[in-house]
Amino acid sequence: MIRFISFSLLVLASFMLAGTSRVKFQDVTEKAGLKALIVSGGEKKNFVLQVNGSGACWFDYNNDGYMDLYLVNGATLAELQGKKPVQSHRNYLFRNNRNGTFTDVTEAAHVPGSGWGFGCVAADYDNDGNSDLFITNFGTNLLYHNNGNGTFTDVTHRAGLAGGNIWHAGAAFGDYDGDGFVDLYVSGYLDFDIHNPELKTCEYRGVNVHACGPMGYRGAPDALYHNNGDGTFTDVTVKAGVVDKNLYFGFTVIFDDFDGDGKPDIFVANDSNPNYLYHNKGDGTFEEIGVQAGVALNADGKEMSSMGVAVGDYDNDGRMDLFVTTFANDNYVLFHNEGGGFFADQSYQSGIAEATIPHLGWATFFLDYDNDGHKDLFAANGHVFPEVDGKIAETYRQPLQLFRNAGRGKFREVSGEVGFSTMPWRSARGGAYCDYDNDGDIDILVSNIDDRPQLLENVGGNRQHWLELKLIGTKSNRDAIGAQVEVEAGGLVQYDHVRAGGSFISSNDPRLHFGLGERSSVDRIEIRWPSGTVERLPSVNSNQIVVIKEGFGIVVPPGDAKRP
Amino acid sequence: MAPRFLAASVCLICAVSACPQSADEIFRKGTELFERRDLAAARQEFLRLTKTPSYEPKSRYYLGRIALLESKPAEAIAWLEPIALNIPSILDADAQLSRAYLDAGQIERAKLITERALRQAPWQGSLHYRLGRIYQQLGDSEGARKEFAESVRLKSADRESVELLLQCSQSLTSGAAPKAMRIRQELLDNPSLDPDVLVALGLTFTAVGLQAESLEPFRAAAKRDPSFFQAQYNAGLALLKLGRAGEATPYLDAAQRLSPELADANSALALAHVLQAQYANAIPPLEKWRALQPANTRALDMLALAYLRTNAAGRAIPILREAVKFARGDPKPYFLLIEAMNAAEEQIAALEVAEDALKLFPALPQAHLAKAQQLARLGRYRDAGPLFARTIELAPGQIDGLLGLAEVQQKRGDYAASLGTYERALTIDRTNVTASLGTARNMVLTRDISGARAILEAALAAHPDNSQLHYELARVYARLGEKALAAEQTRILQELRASESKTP
Repeated sequence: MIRFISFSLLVLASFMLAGTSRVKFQDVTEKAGLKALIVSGGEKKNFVLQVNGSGACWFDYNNDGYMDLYLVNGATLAELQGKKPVQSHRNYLFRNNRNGTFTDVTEAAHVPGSGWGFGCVAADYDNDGNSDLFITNFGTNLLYHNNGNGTFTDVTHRAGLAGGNIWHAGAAFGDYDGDGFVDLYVSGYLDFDIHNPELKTCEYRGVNVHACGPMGYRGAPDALYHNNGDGTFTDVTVKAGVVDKNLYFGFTVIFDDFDGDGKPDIFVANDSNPNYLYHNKGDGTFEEIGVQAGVALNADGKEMSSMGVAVGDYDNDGRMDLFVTTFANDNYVLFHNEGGGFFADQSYQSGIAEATIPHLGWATFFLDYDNDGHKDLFAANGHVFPEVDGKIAETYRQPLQLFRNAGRGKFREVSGEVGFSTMPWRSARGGAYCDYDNDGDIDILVSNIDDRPQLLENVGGNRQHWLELKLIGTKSNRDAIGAQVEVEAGGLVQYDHVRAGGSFISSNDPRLHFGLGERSSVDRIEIRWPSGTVERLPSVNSNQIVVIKEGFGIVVPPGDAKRP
Repeated sequence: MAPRFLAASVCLICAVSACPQSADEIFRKGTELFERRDLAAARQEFLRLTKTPSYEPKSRYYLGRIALLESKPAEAIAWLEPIALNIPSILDADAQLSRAYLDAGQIERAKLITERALRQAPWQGSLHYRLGRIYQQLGDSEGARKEFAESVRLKSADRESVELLLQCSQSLTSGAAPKAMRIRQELLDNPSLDPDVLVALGLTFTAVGLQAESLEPFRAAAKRDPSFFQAQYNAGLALLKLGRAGEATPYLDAAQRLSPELADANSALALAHVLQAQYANAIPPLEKWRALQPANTRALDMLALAYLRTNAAGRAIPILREAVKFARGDPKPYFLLIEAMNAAEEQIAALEVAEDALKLFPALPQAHLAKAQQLARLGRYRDAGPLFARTIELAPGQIDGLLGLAEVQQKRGDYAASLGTYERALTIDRTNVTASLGTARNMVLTRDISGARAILEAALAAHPDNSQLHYELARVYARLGEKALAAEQTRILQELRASESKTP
């Protein structure tokens, strides 16, 4: 008996350790050939314009089954003021060479961006089978139409998405009216006079700093664009009832069905202001319910400096939870979806709050890094004020953080165990996850401000089983954005939705990834397409990327995606 | 040279060089002007003689007396001090200096110089009377009694009133309060009574704790002689002790102007401002008090508090660091320092101070509470829990300890325990906002939405402008499907937040 108990404990211990000590993240940026320098005004930060950095997007622009990477770049004041050419600080499109390396194809693809870029999001807005690219800028935004031959065309003005001469930040695609075409929400940050920037000095915890803000500035408005289905969009902000009447400082935006009514709602993370949650009323209009839903403010009833947004079902209850990264000395906030569109701040109860207080967070996402069937949580950190270095306990460069889902709503920080603590600290901003090498475990890309990006390869995550789903809409929008998927394997039921946008003004791998632990097959896949169609698929083996076409079930993927 | 021209030249030369012959004339003229109480003109004459060695001491004497008559005791001291120690003494310089010290509130110095003056002029009844007042202020009632008796014996002019004063004092100490009150009224009714006697009368009542009865004599004295420091100061002090800080302020302000170098005058005025939450007004007298008594921890504490309350935490911190050094046995500066550091967003340094305070005052519930609250501010609720619990063990009625423990319990997901602790806090303060919010949040988390509604509605009745209550209630109404009510609460919340953000 005693021997049996000892053996059981050993098994239990090895199970608990599985996926923790065995998974590492390895910086493969150099090896992968991601030679890029992200610029945001230079290392000295005199203006708020210079501190937010920019985003990154994973999308498969050439339909080869491997995710390519788009990195948005900033600029310098001199460039923006026309005193210097902007060419030196263009955006980057890296084509995935399917061997762990990337090639910079920005010029060939004609996607250099323009001016000072911030966010990006990819989606096939015209349902032609090719993912297009939208980039938010200080000033005119950009919509690059994917020509399907490795090149893009700037169709911004024709599409009606220029957005006016304001500071745009985040963007997300979602089909709010279910017409089969993805619509676009763009957040506005603040009103910054680029030609007469005021050099301010303010005090942050006793340290004089210059990049003061956003408080003290007027906010910039958000906008919702309806996709007309003919390559053009119409600004429906007023008509749809999503007017940013308070002119809050908008950052990351995401569409998702938070109340389970099948219609995508919109969450907007606002910096230093209450967040917005627009409930989709199903008639083409929205109602702002952030306060009532419990996501406008934190548990103490205080507004957060919300930066990045993670959406995912961390407790596998079928409801999408929200996680928001915030400013230093404030905990990041985990909003548990209680059902019915109501949320409860579970930051402390989950064990996440305390470890995040010293940091200033940006990119964030739920990911099952160890394929154990429970979504973990990543946060990229970095301060906005370089002046704090050496003066107070906070630092400009900060470590990345990973929280392992320990079940029962609890998380445990494993940053050290996965190798983050041995990596040089950077001042991170944008970031997104992706299984860029199609090996079944989730890798991470971080965009660091005034620095090189980091590609962190997951090594060992695929020791446990997994399944990835690429969804193709037919009646629904072609990228199936908004599709709701339920996967059951050996009694474990998981849920996820297809999204475009999120993290910090970035966009993750659009494919859905499910860790399966020891389960070698999936018993059931159920997809609720944005069109309303519900599709149930029979058992499939694990450890593969499955392409599912609406109404057609599993199909042979375009390109030649690796099938380990 | 014509005789007239010669005389004028001599005059001019004498005026310039202060020759002995004309110095006599100047001095004589000065004394005449002084006797006529033409003080400004007299001052000009005596000032001309301060560089003439033979007249310098006497000129100082008169300049000192002029300053006294002009209610400038500090200036009088400056003129009189150098000559009071002369032997033989210059006129009654000792006696004048003793009055100057007394007017300036420098009681110990006044006592020494008056005793010395009496050794030279033991027949001076007024000096005995003054010494009696000094002893009285120093709490030496036996000494005071003797000196008053002696003054009665010698100072025939004041004999009757001093005798009444003595009777009043004796009546009070023997428990014959009605008799004392009759005498008090008799003295107050005397329109020609010396303000000195009125102040002595007030002090007689103060000495036995009868502040209200002391007030009228002090006020009457201040009215009769507005330049009388003791009258203004004691009237203000009596009002302060009676909790009438607003009325005390003009008296204490006058006293401080009369004796700006006196620590007590500055401290009392500052206290009056602090008690009325006029922290900005309190800062000048507090800074003066601190300059006069750099090691006085009360001065440091109060000054730091004034800076804290005027959003100048950065200025409060060094003052409180000093206070901590001077007052190892007093926990107050520690707690204020923690508050100041938090206001200056120096939370980690504040935790170190809280840890020091707990080491020094382990039996003090407040010390446990301060460290617990600091840990909670840093998000370290798990570490804070045992300290909140210990606070409650040491002081079961400590509501902040209960609120802290309840929050810790809630944040670790123990909603039932948290609910119980918040309910304990509500038994202490039924309308406590934090307890109401905490209770409601626990109820929401345990799906007792109707219970949460009842708690929040009751709390809002007591605190209608609390935005957090409106926020929680909006969420609760929404969960109950009361869309209109939820929308109304959201609207109120947004209005309140908008007005809060406009408040400087």
